Amino acid sequence: MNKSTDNDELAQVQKIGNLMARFKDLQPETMRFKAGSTILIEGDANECVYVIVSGTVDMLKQSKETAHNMQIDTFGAGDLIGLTSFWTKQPSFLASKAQTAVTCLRFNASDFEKLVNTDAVFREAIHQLFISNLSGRYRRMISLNVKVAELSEKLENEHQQLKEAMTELKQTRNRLVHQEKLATLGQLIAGIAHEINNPCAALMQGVDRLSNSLPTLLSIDATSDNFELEAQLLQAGIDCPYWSAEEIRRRMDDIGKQYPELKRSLVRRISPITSEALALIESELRSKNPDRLQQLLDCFEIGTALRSTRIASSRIQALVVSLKNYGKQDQEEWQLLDLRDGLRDTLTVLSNQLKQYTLDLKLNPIEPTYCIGGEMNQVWTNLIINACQATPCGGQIHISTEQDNRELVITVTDSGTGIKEALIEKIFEANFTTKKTKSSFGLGLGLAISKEIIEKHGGSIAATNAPLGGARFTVRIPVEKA
Amino acid sequence: MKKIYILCVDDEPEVLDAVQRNIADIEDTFPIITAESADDARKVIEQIKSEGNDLGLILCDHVMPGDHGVDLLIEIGNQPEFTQTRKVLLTGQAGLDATVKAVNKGQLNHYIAKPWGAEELMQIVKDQLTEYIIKTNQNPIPYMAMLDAAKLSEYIYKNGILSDE
Repeated sequence: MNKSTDNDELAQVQKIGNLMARFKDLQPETMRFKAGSTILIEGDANECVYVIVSGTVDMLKQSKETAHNMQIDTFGAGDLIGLTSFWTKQPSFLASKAQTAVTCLRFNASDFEKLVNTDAVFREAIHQLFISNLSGRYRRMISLNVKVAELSEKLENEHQQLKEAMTELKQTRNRLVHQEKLATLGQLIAGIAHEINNPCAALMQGVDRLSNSLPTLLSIDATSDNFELEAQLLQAGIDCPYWSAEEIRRRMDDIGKQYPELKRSLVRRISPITSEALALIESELRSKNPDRLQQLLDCFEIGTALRSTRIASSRIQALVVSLKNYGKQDQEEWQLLDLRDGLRDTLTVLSNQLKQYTLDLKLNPIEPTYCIGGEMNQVWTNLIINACQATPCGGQIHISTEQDNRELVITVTDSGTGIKEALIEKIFEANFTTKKTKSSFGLGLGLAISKEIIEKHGGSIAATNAPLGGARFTVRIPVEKA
Repeated sequence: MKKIYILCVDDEPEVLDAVQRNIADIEDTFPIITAESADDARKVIEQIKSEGNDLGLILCDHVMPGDHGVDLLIEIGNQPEFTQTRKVLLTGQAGLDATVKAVNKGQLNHYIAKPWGAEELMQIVKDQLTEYIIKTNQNPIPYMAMLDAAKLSEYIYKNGILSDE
């Protein structure tokens, strides 16, 4: 509302009042409205023009969407109500409602029009009044539009900020869910490892006992028969090394040539026997009594079965130890740890994935440092899995540790295609991934989380392309003693 | 007579040991030969070729250090001497892609998932070798005791190696 024109409008009211006095035919009716009462209803036909003498009138428009009345304008003394509908002969565009007690003059539209058509002086005066009234409304409309534009811009900014906050929240949520998943997985792994550990220990003890007592049992002199040869072959089996497939093929060829009358299936069974033990059964190999040879070979194979069981169970045990360390719950605390232990555990856990690559480990001695072991394992896991996925089968993965003054430097280098220079800055951002398929770790969070963890430890992580191609990730962690 | 070899390829010595133990009964008819990687298998294949012998069946693991089993099968299938060689994948972790590739490009004949059963393995080996004998038009008589006698008899009958006349 433009207050500066109030005086002009009052003057206009007086002017029109004078006009009214001159043209008594018009006989304007003085109307009084209580605060809150409706003067014009939106959409109704309007036959009158009102001139406000005193009080304030709200101009309202019903919103189609919300069915609420929106305040469009406020009119005061000197303003005209019903002007547009009177002029255009259309139903009221706005509703008008008295905000305060209102006094106004009501002119009958048809009388008004008659006078306008017949009296030039009145017409001119009324035109001036209408124009000043309309231009006032127009000015208010423009300033309103400007205000709307300003508000829209502000709203747009706030919307943008909200959107950014939302994205950040989503990323944080993903990170937390991911970390929670890993923590759960860690607990699960530790639990399973513990469950496997006990039967595995029983297995190992059983094998040890059998390996020790069986040969002794057979060679006890008190028995009527002498099982000395059986005992020796059993022992030879227990102590027998693992031969490579190539070695077995060579040994089979040799034995086949030496004893051409032996069947190939027997040659295969004899092939792992060391030459010392073979010398013990020389005569049985040449003799025509296959049963005795079978018997001795059985003894030898019981020995190799014990050996295989022992080796297999120690492999299970080593795996279990690594799994337990890797997934330990207490690794969520700050502890003084040698980072190489976590690296080795991670490598054991990932050994199946690493099978297809040549692994080059240079774990130079480094000082222990305060860190959260479980989180550091997450970093190693992410870096090593990334290296595997970036490298074609048969490629190389180099992992090194060294101490640079008060900093520990750990690098993971692969022989893959490297990182495009344009992407090198981006790869630590959340949800960045070049992997086409979704693997179990494929949230695109690996490096973002790794960076977060390393920064939490006061360190840094950087990606570069190695001189010979492939990507290199360098982690630097300061040595913290307490 | 030419020897018909069975080649087993696996990087785990325990697996190789178990496989040859499971099929040991067949060894005096079809010599078994083992290799622990694709590279090692290539050496064995060269040796078989140079001695003028045949490779009837290859039983191969998939994930091994160095080249994968599927790639080895494809490579062997492309050698003219071994187009008829029966190819079996024995693996715990060949993904769908690798398996599809083995079927389409490596003429894979059978897929065995680890862990396997001893009798199942023996039966598969016998079936595959029976197919090999038939496809390569060999005289089936020496193998009848060891392989699928019914199938071989039918083959003999149809091809008139032994006739009713």
